[in-house]
Amino acid sequence: MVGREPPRQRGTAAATVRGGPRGLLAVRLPAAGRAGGAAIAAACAALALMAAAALLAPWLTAHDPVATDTSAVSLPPGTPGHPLGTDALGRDLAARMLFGARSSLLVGVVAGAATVVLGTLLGGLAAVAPRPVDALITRTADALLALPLVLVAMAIAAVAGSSFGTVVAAIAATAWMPVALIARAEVGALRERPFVRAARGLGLSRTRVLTRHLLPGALPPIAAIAAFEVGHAVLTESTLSFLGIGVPANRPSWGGLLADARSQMLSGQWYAVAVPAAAIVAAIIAVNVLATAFDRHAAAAGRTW
Amino acid sequence: MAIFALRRAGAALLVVAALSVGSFVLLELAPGDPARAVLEARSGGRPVPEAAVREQRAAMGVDAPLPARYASWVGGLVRGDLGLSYASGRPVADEIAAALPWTLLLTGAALVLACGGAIALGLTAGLTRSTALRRCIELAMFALGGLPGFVGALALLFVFSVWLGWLPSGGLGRPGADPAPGDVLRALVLPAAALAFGHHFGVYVRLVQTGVARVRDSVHVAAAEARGLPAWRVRTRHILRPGLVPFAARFGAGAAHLIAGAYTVELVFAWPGMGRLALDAARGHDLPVLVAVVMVTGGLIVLATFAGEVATARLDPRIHLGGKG
Repeated sequence: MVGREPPRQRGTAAATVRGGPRGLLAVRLPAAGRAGGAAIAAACAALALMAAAALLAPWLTAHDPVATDTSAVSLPPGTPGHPLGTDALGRDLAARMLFGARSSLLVGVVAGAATVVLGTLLGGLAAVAPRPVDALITRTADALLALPLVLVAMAIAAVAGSSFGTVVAAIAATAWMPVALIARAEVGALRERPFVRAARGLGLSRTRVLTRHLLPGALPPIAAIAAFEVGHAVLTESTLSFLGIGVPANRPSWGGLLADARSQMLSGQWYAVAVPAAAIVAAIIAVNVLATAFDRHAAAAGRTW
Repeated sequence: MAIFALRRAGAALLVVAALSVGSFVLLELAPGDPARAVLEARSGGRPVPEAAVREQRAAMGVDAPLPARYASWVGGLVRGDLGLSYASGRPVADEIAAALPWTLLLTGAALVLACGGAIALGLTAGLTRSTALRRCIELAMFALGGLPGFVGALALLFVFSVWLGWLPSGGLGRPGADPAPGDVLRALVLPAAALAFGHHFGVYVRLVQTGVARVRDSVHVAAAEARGLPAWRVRTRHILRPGLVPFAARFGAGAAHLIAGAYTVELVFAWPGMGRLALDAARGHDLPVLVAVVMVTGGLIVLATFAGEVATARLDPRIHLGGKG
């Protein structure tokens, strides 16, 4: 709901907040010298471990993640053959965690990438397109930013039916706005710079100026926010799966595991909740740590946006 | 002030109009025949005769052209007629009316908690001269940023309800009966806390903190201190008030996130609110209910955004009222 200002002076109070629309995604890790380096290393290690678990899932466990076993129901962790125990239907929790990493991380990365591509395209378009198109895109972004996105994602999932593609589409459709607003601001700031004017003066086409001269310059800040978008996508996927409208129910995911484990927790078996919850929290925090480092690195390279 | 409020109200109306078009398109995109869905819901899933379906189609105006259907849908919306639920065959407005007060109670309590907590923590972090304390708060808020609302809700549920047994694990007394106010209050504590201190709480603390830290060293604060005003007065009147501007500017978005977070929290604590309603509707493809929830929530958020904008303007006299931007 920003008024009719020119692109570079989006003058309502919301735009004066440092960090701009990115402030909505995550809090940055406070700068912490040597400890910061350790945090980055830990985050890399955690993510590498999760990626390895996801890739090697079939070889790391002998159990089928969806096979029920009525003779081994609600076993505690440490039971021989079931290192993390089993759930109320006798499904092996270790296997479900490993295969769940596949859904959760894959959706996180694919949806994060889709969000960034969609946001960059729309933001770039808004910056170079005629006024009405610009207004349409920015107004839509502002309006969507003010909506409860889980609700919008829920509506999309309800209409389209639950599938991997739907989840990715729902996340991308509800998370592109911060990327688009940043891309628009960056491209808008770049387009008056001498080298871009020179390129246009040389008679290059609009498309070529956009793809060769404007977008590459706008990429570093977009890359920094892209990492936050991955963390956000992991969070949204786990929320949707927890609500039962994420990836299909027969494919394990960490959010879905938590939904299954709620009743177990009420009868005192806290570990059924603790393991997937820890995985989700660790994944999001690790991604946010890396994103902060990335953001700071880009800022230290002379970009303060 | 009046002109500013009017302009903002106009913008809010535009958003609501766009929302209604989007919701209507969503309704139209849905596969299946709404008339048949309503009849089957009433007959308990048994097949219904074709003649009855045709009659119902005429009664619901399904065959009318698109603009006419949109007009009649909006007309119904304005009158409070939100159509019939596919799942129960009852008017959607009744279901919303039953669920809305509970969600308002929950989000209202969470909003108070979140604002109070964010102002207290943000003020502390923004004013303290102790780097260690500030670092601690920032680090805690960063960690909180990785905690989805429902994970925090599950943790609270386990600690205070299953383990310590202090508070109820969910629900509101016996079904059917009106719960006693004391029961409601006890049942409200955990969901409200889970909702307020979800993964967006850190953002609000950071907004208050940066706002306060920026104002702290300004000339007017030094002047207020030099005049010998008591410290608490300088803090509340001269630092906090202008320092709250970034926070107030995000108030609408904050309310939106609270309402969105309420869905998962309501699920964890079996709270009979809009989230429960929307979730059942999404699972059962009950689109009239889902669209009604989207419209009502969207309207609430537009109201909250409007309130946030007016509050921002009141807090920061430099924002020109009625002028440009």
